Amino acid sequence: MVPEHMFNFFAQRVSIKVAARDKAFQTWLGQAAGCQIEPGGKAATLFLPEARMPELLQCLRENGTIAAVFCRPLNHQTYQLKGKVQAIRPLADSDRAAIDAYLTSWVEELAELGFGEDYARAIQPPVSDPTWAVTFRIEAVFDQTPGPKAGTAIPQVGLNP
Amino acid sequence: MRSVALASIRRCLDGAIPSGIATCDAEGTPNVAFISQVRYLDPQHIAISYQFFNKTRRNILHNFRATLDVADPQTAERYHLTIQYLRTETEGPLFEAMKAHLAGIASHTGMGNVFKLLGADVFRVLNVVQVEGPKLARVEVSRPGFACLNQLMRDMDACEDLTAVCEKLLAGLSRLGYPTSQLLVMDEQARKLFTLTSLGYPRSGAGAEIPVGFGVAGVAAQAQTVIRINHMAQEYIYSEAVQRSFAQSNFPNLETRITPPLLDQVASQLAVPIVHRGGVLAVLLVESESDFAFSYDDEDLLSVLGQWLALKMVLLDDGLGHEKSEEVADLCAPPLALEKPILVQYFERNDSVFLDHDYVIKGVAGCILWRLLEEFAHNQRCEFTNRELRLDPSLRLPELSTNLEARLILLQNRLAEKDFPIKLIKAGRGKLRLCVDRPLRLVKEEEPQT
Repeated sequence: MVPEHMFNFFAQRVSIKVAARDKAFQTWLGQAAGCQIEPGGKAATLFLPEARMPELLQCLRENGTIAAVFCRPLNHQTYQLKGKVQAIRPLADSDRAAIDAYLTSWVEELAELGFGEDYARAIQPPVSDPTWAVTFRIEAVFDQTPGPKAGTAIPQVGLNP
Repeated sequence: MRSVALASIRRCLDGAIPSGIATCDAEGTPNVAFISQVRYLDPQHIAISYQFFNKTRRNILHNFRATLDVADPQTAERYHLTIQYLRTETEGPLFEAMKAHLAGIASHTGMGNVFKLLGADVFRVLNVVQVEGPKLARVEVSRPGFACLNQLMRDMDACEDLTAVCEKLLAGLSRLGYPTSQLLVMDEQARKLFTLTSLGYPRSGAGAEIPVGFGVAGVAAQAQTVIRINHMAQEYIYSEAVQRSFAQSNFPNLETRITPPLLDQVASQLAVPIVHRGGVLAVLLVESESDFAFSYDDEDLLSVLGQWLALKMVLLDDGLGHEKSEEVADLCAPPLALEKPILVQYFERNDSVFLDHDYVIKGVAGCILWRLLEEFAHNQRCEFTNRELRLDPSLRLPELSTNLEARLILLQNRLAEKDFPIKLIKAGRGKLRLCVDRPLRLVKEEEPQT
C-alpha cells in the first residue's frame, strides 16, 4: 500500500518505466505517460500508449504481471511498484487531465536540470489513441534510491516519506 | 518497431540520459530499474556498470537475459536492446574506463560517495529496435574531422625529430577542435609520466610529473586504455595539492616544483595512451571546461592519431640510433668575466639543478643540463650532439632513445619558459647549442635543496 502523503510522488515530476514479461520470460519495457495512485493506496493506474509498446500491453493482457519504477531526476528518489493488472480500459477525461498535469510537472522538473520543453515532451511517449489506463494491484513497493538501502522492500503498511 | 545497428546509436550509450533495465526472476516476476552507465564496446557488445548486488543482478545471473531502454540525448529517440549476460570484469582496461566514467557521472549527480563500481558486466546485444515516437532535429557539431587529421598526419610525417612532431601535434589538435591538450611522456623506470608539451592551459606545466595509475592520464597509461570523463570528477583531477600529497606519501622523487597544467574548471577529459608492442610511450590528453565535450567519435579519432604517433615515435627512435657520428668542434668564447657569474647548483642525490637559487629541473633532464654546463665551463664547448649524450653512461638514460629527445625538449622548454640566462637551442639535426650570457660558477652539492 502506498500512503497518501506519497501519492504525489508517483503522479508528478518522475520518469516512469514499466516492465512486463511474456510466456518465455522475455521482458518488455515501456515509458508511461503518467500514473495515479488509486484512493486507499492499494492500486495504481498507469497510462500506456499502445503504439509505443504493443508487446508490453500484450504481455499485460496475457499474464498481468507488472513492475514500474519511478524516479525523480532532480534528487534521484526512486521507488518500484510490483503487482497484478486488474483492469485495462480506455482513457476517461479525468485520465487525460492527469496526463496533462503530469507532463507539465515533468517539463518543470527537466527545466531545472537544463533541458528545454521540446526535449522534455519528446522524451515522453506521445499520448496517441489508443492509450490505455492500466490499473494494477500493488503487491510490493521497493526503495530504489541509489545507496546502501537500494532494493529494500518497504513494508506494506506504508512508505517512508 | 524498426531494427537498427548498435554502432549507429553509440551516442545513446554515454550516460547523458539514464537508461532503464528490465529483468525477470525464476517465478516470472519482472523487475525494472534505472542504471548509471551503459558503455558501447563493439557492434555486438555493451557493458553495464555493476554497483550494487540487487534484484536486477540476481535476475541477470539467473536467466542471463535483460531488456534495456536508452534515449538519444539530442533527438529524444528511444531504443530497446535485448541483451544477454556474458561475464563480469572486475579489473583491467574496461573496468578502469568505466570506473573513471562513473566517477564523472557520480560527481555530476551528487552521488560521489554512493556510486562505486564493483564490476563491468559485459553483454551480447541480440537485438536493437527503435521505439515509435517523435524525433527532434539533430544539431551536428561541426568538427574538421578526418581531412584535418589526414593533414596533421602528413605534417608530422615530414618531421625529423620529436620537437617538430610536438609542435605539429598540438597545433594540429587545436585545428581538429581540441584547443587544450598536452603530451605526457612515460618514464618507465620511475613509473611516472611527465608533461612534455602543452597548449591552451593557463601555464604550460612542462616537466610536471604524475605517477602511473593516478589522474586521468596516469590511469590511461596503467590500464592501457582510453579514459573519457564527461563531467568533473575530483578523484581524476591532478591538481597541485594532489601532486604534493603523492610526493609526501609514496612518491618521494616526484617533481613538485613544477605545477601541472590544469584548467580552472575542467569538466571533460579524454586520455589516449600511445602504445607500441605492449609498452606505453606516452599519453595524449585533451580537456575542456564544458560537460560532454568528447564522445565515442573523439575516442576513435584520437586513438587513430595515437597509434600513428606511437609508430612515429618508434621510427624516430630507430633513426636516432643510426645517426652518423658528427664531429663537433665548435668552441665558444667564454662570456666576459666582468659580468656577475651565474651560480649553478647541482644536487647529485636527485639530479636537481638551480640557477641563482631558482629551480630549473631534476632527474635525467637535470643530469643532462649539469653535464652540458660542465663541458661548457671546463672545455668551452657550446655545441653537442644527441648521439654523444645518448652514449654517455653517466646520464643513465632509459633504453628508448626518444626518451633523450623528450628530456631535451623538456629542458629547452623549461629554460625558455622561465627566461633563465642559459638557453638550449637546436643547431641542426641531432645537434644542440648552449647559449650562456654570463660566466658560470658551478657548485656540486651533497644534499638536495628543499
